[in-house]
Amino acid sequence: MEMPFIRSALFIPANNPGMVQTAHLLGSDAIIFDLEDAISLSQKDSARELLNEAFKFFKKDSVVRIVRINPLDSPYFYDDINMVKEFDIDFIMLAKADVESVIALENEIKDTNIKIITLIESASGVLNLKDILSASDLVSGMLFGAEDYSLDMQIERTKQSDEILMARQSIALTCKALNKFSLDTPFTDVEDFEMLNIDTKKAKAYGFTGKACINPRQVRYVNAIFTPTQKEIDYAREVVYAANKAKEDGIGVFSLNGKMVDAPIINRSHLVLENAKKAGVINE
Amino acid sequence: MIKDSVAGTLESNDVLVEISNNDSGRIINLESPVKDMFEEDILKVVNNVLDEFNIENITINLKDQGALDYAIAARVRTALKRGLK
Repeated sequence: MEMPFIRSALFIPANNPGMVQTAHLLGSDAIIFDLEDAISLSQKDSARELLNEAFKFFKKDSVVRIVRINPLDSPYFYDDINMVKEFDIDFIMLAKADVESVIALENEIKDTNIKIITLIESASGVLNLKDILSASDLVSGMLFGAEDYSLDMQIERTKQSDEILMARQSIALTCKALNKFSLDTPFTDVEDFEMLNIDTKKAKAYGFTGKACINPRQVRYVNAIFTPTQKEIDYAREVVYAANKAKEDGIGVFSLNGKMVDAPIINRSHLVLENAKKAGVINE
Repeated sequence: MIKDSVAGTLESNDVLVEISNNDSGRIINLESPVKDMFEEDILKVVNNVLDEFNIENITINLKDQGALDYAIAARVRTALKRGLK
């Protein structure tokens, strides 16, 4: 399964026409049109109708379209799916995902081209992530919801996020092992860009492939950190060039600038160049 | 028989739609800052949705805040569905 290129995924309330119609201009790689927490119980129907008309009115462009639906244990799950499965979108994001709800969603959308992103936001969700991600071939990736997770764990959320370290590393590891993309929890202080930078760098270091945003002003910071740096690109080019030459010469493992280079480093270099190309920072 | 119902908001780019039953055909009242330029287009959107629902007798009050066609259609559809529940 080819991984979508999602460095940033911006939440947009699905019942706000002004935000829905300009969302694709805000620079994020993906938009998460939210039918869940951002929509009051009395406006769920209105939000669904607005998205339905919006997706017919605005042709899909390169920005990845995600719709977050309400969880299976809510009265809105099937109403959401019945309308959303007709939308021209890439992913449905399933709130409070577990194995049962993933299978229920799969049964409803298996005849469409829509894939599933699971939202993991509980202790059992983190613990059972491998089973949840494996519950359907339609599952492409996940988003970590640290606010609800912390509530479930009865722990205090801090800006430093030490309290979610193990969950984050476990999630990133599981996703990598199953070849699924992993979106880190949004940073909730929309005025603190210094800590946003630190938090996003941590997420990248743990192995997340992108991060959710809750404010358009967060997008450029997140995109910048998940875009390969010039130093990474230069090194990747050197590795790929040297690897091609070594292959011609019939050499398996070789050394570059005094360091041994083998298959994992070569593969990683290809990935860096591929992501740099998708991010538009290199052409070839 | 359609019940009185409301959809939408008075926020920018939105439209507040109020519907009620009547026996005198389609009565559509529009308030909009762009009424002079787009009244015909807005009424066309509203009438298309009413055609889709086969509704001939209805009063619709629209307080438009610069909504695009898709938003007008969505709010009218929501109001109708709520009114028909």
